[in-house]
Amino acid sequence: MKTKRPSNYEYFIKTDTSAYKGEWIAISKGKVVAHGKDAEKVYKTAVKKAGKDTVSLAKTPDEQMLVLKLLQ
Amino acid sequence: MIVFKYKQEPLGNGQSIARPVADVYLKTKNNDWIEFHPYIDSGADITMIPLSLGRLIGFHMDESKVVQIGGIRGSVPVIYDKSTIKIGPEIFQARISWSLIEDVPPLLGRTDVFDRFDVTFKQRERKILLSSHPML
Repeated sequence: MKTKRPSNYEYFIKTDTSAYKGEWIAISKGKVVAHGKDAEKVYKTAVKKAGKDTVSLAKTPDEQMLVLKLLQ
Repeated sequence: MIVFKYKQEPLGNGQSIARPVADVYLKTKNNDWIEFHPYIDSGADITMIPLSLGRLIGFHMDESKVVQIGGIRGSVPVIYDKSTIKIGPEIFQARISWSLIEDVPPLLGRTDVFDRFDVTFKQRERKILLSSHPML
């Protein structure tokens, strides 16, 4: 039986991306296909690997990035 | 009705927090669509994208248009521009602040976006509901 692959968005929501702290990640077909500090380079690398219409981008926060952070 | 979700993210102290994330497409100057996943920030006056994402969609530097906008951590140099964006089935023009530094989060802010949708944060359910405004 075929399992439906989650969308890039669903994958991003559900996946712990903290290994890429402070970086852009490119997601395609249920996996991270490229990552780095520059969205343009990451996207172009991902498109070469996976094709233009399958790639999405997200930025994984580093500890200092968000303006308001819960301190405990 | 468009439904977005919260993403659980580590705080770096062994704890984590859920943050609201959207699924948004930006149209490039070459008429391609770039899908990305910004935080939904009802406290942000305007949508903001980091430097390299702005370059990717074809924004160009014009030093005469640089302004400083304020935040909790100080000011950030930005250029105000516009882009066609797609959220769910809705395609529309939105004003965007293009950060000229990289170290900012991509944020989906209120200007043009919250004018178009009624936005409901259902934090206990880890959902954000966007309803198209009936006048649009």
